[in-house]
Amino acid sequence: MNKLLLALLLVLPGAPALAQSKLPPLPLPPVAPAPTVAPHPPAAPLAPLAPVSVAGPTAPAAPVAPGGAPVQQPGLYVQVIDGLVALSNPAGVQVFQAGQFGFTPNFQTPPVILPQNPGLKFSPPPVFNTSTGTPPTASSAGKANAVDCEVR
Amino acid sequence: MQARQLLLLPLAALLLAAPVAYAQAVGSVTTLTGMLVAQGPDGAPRVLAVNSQVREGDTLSTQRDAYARIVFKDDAEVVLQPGTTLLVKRYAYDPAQPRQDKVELSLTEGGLRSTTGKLAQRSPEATVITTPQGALKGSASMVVTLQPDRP
Repeated sequence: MNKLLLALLLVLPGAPALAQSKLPPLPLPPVAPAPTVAPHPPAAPLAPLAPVSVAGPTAPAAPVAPGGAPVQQPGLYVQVIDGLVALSNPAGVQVFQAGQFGFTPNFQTPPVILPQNPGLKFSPPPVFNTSTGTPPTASSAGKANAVDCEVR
Repeated sequence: MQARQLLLLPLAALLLAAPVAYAQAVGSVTTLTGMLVAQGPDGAPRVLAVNSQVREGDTLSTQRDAYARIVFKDDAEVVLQPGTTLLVKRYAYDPAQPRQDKVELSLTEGGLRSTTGKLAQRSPEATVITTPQGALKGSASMVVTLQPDRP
């Protein structure tokens, strides 16, 4: 704040003279002494970490889906947010429901349900996460029809 | 005889061009970051912006770092991720003609997030998204990702 005021005084025409006039000195806040940092104790040996099944480039071991499909294996991945969808190819058909993840590597392999998110990342900018007036789907209609406030 | 043929030539050209010129608009771009290109059946690329129309037969391509939201005429949405190619093969929706409901999209690379609209609510089996690995049929809101082969 004081620096800003000083800079303002230096910039304004005639301000230096004004600054040298009989102005009372600005009260400066007391400066706190620099905190002393205690030296770190010697690092203790780390306990071995439990394996974490997080998909990513640095994940040591990717989770394996039923059928032996490792995460990020080339192919088709689907995550159902709402509703039902059937994934079919000449090798088979699999129906996925809300909350499920599916995968098939190619046209000749039947689709499978993945036990967990295989690392799908769909993260558009926040502006894409607000719907533009899409009507409720069949399964969410009940929630959407709930009345929050009614004016009579 | 030759004169008659010459007279009919412009008419024939007009008839041939008509399907391209009047390709049906089935949706529009509502949100866009980056570049989105549509290539119609005539092969001519169009750079789309917010409020640009999306037509039946358009192949939509998002460039690197580009996201695009398309809202279709039944209020269904798709958000395309960067590096996506999506063909809007068919989008038949008429509020008064439920029997004609049909949506055919073809995802050949990249990924999308789809949100269902009016068509999917009344015709759950009418929407199909084909991919090189299989076809998705149903009325789900979902994220679909094509993981490419490793280089």
